[in-house]
Amino acid sequence: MNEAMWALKRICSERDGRLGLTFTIAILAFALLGPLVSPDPNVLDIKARFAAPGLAHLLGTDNLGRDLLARTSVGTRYALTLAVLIVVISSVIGSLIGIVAGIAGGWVDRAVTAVFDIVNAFPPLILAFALIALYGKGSATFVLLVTVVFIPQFGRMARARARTLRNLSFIEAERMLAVHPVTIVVRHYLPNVAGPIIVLASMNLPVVIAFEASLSFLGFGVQPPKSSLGTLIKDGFVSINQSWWPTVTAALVLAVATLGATLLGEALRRVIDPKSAGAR
Amino acid sequence: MTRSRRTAVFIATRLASVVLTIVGATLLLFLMVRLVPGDFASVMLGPRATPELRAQIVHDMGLDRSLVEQLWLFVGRAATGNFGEDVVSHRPILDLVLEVVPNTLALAFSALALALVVGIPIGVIAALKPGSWLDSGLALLSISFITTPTLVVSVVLFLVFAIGLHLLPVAGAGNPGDIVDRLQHLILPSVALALGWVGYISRLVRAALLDSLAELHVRTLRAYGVSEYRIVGLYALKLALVPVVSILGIGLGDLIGSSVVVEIIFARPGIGSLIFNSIAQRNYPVVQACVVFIVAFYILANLVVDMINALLDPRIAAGRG
Amino acid sequence: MAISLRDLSVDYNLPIGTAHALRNVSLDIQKGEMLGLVGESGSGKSTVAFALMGLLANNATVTSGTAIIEGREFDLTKPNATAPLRGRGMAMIFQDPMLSLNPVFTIGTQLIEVLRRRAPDSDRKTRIAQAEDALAKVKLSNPKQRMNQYPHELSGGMRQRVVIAMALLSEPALLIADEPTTALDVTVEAQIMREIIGLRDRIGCAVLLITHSLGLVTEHCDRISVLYAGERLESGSVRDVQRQPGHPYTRMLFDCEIPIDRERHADTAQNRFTVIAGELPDPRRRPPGCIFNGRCDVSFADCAKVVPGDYPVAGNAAHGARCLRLVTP
Repeated sequence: MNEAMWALKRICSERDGRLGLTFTIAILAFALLGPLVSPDPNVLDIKARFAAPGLAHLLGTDNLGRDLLARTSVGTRYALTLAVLIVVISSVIGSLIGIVAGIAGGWVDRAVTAVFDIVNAFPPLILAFALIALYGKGSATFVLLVTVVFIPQFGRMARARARTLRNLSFIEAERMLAVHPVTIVVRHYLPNVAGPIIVLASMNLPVVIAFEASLSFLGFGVQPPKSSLGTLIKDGFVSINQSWWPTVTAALVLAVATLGATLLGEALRRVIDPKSAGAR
Repeated sequence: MTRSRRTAVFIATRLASVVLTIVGATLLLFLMVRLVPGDFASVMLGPRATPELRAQIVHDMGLDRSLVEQLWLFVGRAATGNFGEDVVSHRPILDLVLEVVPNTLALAFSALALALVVGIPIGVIAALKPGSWLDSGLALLSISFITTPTLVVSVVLFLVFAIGLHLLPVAGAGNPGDIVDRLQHLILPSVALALGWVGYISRLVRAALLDSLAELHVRTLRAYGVSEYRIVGLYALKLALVPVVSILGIGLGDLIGSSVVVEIIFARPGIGSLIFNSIAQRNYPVVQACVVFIVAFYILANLVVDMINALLDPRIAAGRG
Repeated sequence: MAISLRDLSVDYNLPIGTAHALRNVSLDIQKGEMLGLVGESGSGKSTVAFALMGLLANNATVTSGTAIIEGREFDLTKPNATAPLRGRGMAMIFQDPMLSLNPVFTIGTQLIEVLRRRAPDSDRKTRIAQAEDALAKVKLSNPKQRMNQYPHELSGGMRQRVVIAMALLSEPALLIADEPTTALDVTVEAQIMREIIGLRDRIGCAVLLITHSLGLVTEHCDRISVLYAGERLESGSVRDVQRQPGHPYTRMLFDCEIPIDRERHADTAQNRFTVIAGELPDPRRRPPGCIFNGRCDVSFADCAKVVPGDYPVAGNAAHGARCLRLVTP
């Protein structure tokens, strides 16, 4: 806990870190507290379709007269949940595959690296497209399929770390003493791989947020009745001639969320891994 | 070994790995499609499945043969650009793809050019006075550009120009024969696609330039009275462009991915919108062809990037880079 | 008098405090002469070179110092005071030839760049011919072919010849050679020194040779200055100093008969310990009295209190040392 406090202090000690933290807290507050100050997001109010922001609806209403503050807030919460899930699952799976490949070496390593290379040969959004088109929609499927797209990044980093660790004498010594491989992994590999993986994960979070929004905007991500920032932008975009603020509100929240997460992620990287933080 | 010989070997090894990756990607795509649960021909045809069409697909794709044979057939056809006939329009799928590819290429390359033309000067200016208020302001600007999703930029640009200003066309690719019209239609999509890259490139250029300015050969030039303008703008910049160009290769894939969003919003025909529409119609053979195309382009672009870098930095071709 | 440096003092602003790298160092070099500036690492000898060139790091401040070069006076406390001389009146050869050339430009381009500055009115053809000629003069084989090669295609010694060719092209009044052979093979050392001397004789410039190797100085230099912890402890003709060192430090250096600075070896500290006992004083706090007091084997009570001046050795005004023993009967 002390380490977390220390990291937080360091993050707050620079402008970008403070900005990132502020934006992130603002977005989280918006996602969590929005429904408390607004009507039910699913209640239709046909008389008040496309209402402009006002006292009854702080951010106006959409084409069905639903309160936009509530809908955007709930959509933000859902979008963030999905993004965090995707990043966590892909970083865990990626790290495990990477560590195994790095430790095993030989043909296992070559095969895993080749698969990573091949997956990376697909532009991420296109690969997600193809996967979702073939294997179907729905939130759980969506999370799993997008996870596939992001696994190689984490896998490569974990593999590279594992390979350098493998040749360290103390690990070699334990191997010779026939310490159980799982014990070695837990005791040495996981703690050493964790740092860079956490940094990579935090840097990837805004990427995944934008990724989910793009996919949902195109209709490949979150499906109704659920909504995320991407679907809100799409819904607004369809009726953009009647009112433009639904789209702009969701787009603005999305932009602030990605900016905040990026600034925070970079500040975190500078704290955890000052050496690689040359490119500010 | 002579220099030209080394360069030849370098190109040959890169080409070999490119071919292998394309084959691997095609294989992966094949497996992805074949692992779909359910009757494959019906999945491929989706709602259009009639017994006749089914039989035709089964025959065309060799579904009645062994898996290895099918794979061979698929890779062989993909290699010769034979993706079969589209069941919707009854035209060769290759034609469908080739028809829209120029639009996407125009979009991707104009965005790239825009990003370089704007991003490099910003990076250079920031690197001239590291730590100054100008530098830190540009840093915040760059990161805002990077993090604003293309989706948001496109939507906002569309809004501003479709509802607010009416200065530029917001939909379509323009009249085929009219160059001016086509260029006008290219402006907004390119800006939308390029904005993030402006930020990315300026950051990269700044960092790489500061790195190369810290190297000792810069001191040599200074000791011989070479002007700071020539040092920064020529000697350090050329060295700094090497990592920037490397990133561009990776970025091209991103650019093509994002071009889907841009093409949809600005209603531009292109490979992105073709994929999008084909998926919506569950027209999988077309999707497959598009993906093979994109992957091949992406990999070839990376090859070109390596070549450019080998030209920029002779140590790369010599295997010391 | 071709080159004269007066009272150079340089501070480095470090996070741990202000380090005084140089304190009132003065040097004189005649035209056609080579002055050897010797000292162990940390003595500030390279700082002298970079202060003269105006190429000190950003955290360095020149607090005092003037340079007189070919009759013109330059106030070194002003940033870029000597900038007009770079590539025209002054040239420099660096310690690490592997890093001192730009890896992505040909040798020819980098040589011609020097001529852009030195001879702005000449055309490209002339410049190429001059650059090839310079490469030939520093005895690089196949100069025409070298022009199109990149630094990585050349060995360290060859690269150093290229830098010497750059210096040759800029026809300086003062050539500064900062450890020009330290990073090179011992076998190449003599050749490189020969090219530097050849350059001096061709142009008739003054040469400041910065080195940790006394052997190099006694072999090639006319005069010697000994730098210790940012202060010049002794200076004179190589012959005089070698025959009768005026400062205990100089004597100890000659006694060692092996390089005083073994920074190329891993266990630096240990090596130095076996050579001259003790360590350099803290550059942030100059101890009172003689700067060498802590390591001196012949010090006496006054050495810890009185700061010595430059006293003539054996009544020779051209040979001075900063030791109280010279004025204590």
